[in-house]
Amino acid sequence: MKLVPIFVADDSEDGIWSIHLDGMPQNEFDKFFDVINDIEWLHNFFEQNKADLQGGFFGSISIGVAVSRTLEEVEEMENSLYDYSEQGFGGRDSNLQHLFKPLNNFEYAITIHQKSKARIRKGWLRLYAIRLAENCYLVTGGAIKLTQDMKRAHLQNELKKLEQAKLFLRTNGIAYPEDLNTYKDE
Amino acid sequence: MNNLKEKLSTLISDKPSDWKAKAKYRRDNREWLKKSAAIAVRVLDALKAQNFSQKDLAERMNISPQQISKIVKGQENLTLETISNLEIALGIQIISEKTIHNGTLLKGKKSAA
Repeated sequence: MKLVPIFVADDSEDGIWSIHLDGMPQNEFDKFFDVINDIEWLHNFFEQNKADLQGGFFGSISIGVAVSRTLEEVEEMENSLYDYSEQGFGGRDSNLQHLFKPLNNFEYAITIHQKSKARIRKGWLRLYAIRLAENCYLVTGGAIKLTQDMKRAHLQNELKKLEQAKLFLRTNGIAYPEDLNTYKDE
Repeated sequence: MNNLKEKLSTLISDKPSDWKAKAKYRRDNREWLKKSAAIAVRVLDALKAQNFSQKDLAERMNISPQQISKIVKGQENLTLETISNLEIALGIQIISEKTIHNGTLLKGKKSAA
């Protein structure tokens, strides 16, 4: 595993980084935004997860509507990130905590090395990350979350990458508090 | 440089991110990309309903499979000719005359009159 700066402030530790897994052609942040803007990928994903899509958590939604809804969400998420990258981190609202929240919905305190997620209001798009400092996040991947829990294979894979990234950080002398391991992921 | 940034910098991959350039492209071309996405969904739905592969469609339209791939990914700035050829090859309607008459073209004519 390696790290890739996505956008990082010149004069502080503020910014977004991504993991780049061994043997993969690109980092997880770039990969997420590439696939989530790929209509064929989205169509296949919703075909494969049709039961969850039409199972009631979000109501019964057609694949066409699901693709369009995802594109609206990713536009909002990507625009926010792009604005951060352009405007820097100086302003009152230029804090990534506006976008990233703790992974666990019942976890209200924001701490260092916390597993985090970015999402748009009540949307289904998630960008998963580890909080390294007040305004510094390491993105480990992203997903479309159609279910209330994290049991689906693609979501389990995201949890696995969060754990892999934490292990990588610890191995390389960037430690995290052990008590965060006990949080229930949602 | 602070300690965290210094530590992270020692672990950097040799392949930098190209997200920002792509995000800018998507932002600058958002309006037609949305229309391209809607057409891609119509094409993918039709392929599935007719049990037709992208390769079959490419052969029927006499274009390369790579071009079909771009179309279904929603990344292609399609010409009216390509849209008409997709309609013929798949037996579907993507843009109807009614849409055009009820849309800005006719409204523009009326307001100009």
